[in-house]
Amino acid sequence: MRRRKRTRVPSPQQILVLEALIGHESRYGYDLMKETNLGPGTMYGLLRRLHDEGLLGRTTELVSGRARARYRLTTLGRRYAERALIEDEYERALRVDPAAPSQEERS
Amino acid sequence: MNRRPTPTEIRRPTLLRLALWLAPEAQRMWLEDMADEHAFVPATERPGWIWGALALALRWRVVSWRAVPRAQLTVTVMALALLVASPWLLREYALNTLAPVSETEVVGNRDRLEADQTPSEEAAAGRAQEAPAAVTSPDPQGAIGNAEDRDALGPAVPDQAARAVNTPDLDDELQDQAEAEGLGVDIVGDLLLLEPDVAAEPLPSAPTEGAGERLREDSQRETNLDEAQSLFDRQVIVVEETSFVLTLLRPTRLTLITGTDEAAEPYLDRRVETGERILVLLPLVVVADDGGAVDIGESGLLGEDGRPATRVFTTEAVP
Repeated sequence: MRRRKRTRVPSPQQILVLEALIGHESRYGYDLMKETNLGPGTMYGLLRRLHDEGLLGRTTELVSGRARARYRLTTLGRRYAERALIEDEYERALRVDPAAPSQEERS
Repeated sequence: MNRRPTPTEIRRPTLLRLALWLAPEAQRMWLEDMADEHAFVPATERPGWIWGALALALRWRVVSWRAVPRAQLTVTVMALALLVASPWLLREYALNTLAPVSETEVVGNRDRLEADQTPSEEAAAGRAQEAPAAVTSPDPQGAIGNAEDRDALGPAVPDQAARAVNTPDLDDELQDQAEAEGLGVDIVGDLLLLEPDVAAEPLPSAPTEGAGERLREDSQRETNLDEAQSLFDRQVIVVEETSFVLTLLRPTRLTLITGTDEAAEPYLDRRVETGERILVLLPLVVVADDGGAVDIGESGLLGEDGRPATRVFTTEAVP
């Protein structure tokens, strides 16, 4: 019997980046940094890791005569981000809001 | 008139150049990205940006500590000391370098942009805010060595958010795995991700001669099959035919992409029903949420029952 290699659990920061990309065709690193509130070093470390894992694609383009890289989700990354979003919603739905009235109070 | 920039025209702060120099070769591309993006960062945030780049370069350098040239080792230690002892240096830099980026500044002559990215007059005039002169699009999977395939990268599907609603539920699979590993049923905590080296595996160098087998899998990938099967296992399969028929044994979500690049625009991406037969032309990427639901002819099923699978079908080996 082959032993399954243990898979790595993605960090919440990685999920943040994937979620920031999911609604866009591609985005710049600075925009991603602002949306996720991550530092530049953290952000590019995450981008590199996601790229190495095949979840992220990278394109360089010229903007005002300067090179600038854009990042986009691959098919695999998009699927992964979609699932992360769904599961995030699921977790939020399960989370009990302490301010909300209980079932008994409502009835 | 186009003019090639000279090295003296490259306007990068010293600390950014230091970060680029310190970064390991394999990760230098990302520091280049940071250095490029630096020009578009608001002036007030640039010191923090440079700090982040330098810290990242040092971190990567420390992680890949083996075989560090003596000069880089010395400078790394000095840079570390500099970072720890002199945060005021960056503040001082901020006071001196808050000049806005000029639209007429000329980009540096970087190798990876050499072919296509000579700045145009329009760009110099600042008219083109978003010139879509995409130059390179390295294969994110790291598996496609063919330059033509890389050039064929298309834009991502625009309405991902809308399609997220239709994503089939894969919780059962995760739940099963979580239970098997004794991790409970916390689905969110058991998200699976491909290991890095899965994406970087090479494609098969040549097809092997099989007796009667139409589809042959690359034996090199066998060693990493476990990792690949963790979520969306991806295999490159060389097929002698230029087309074949996919038959759906039960409903699943199916994505078909022309070519060998998973990031390209799919021409089919929907939930398919039992009994559907789809004629496909090669080369082709097939992604299914349930690999066991897709019959690929004489060679059996696309993947395991209930497990997502990604397969790249080519008519010839990709170098």
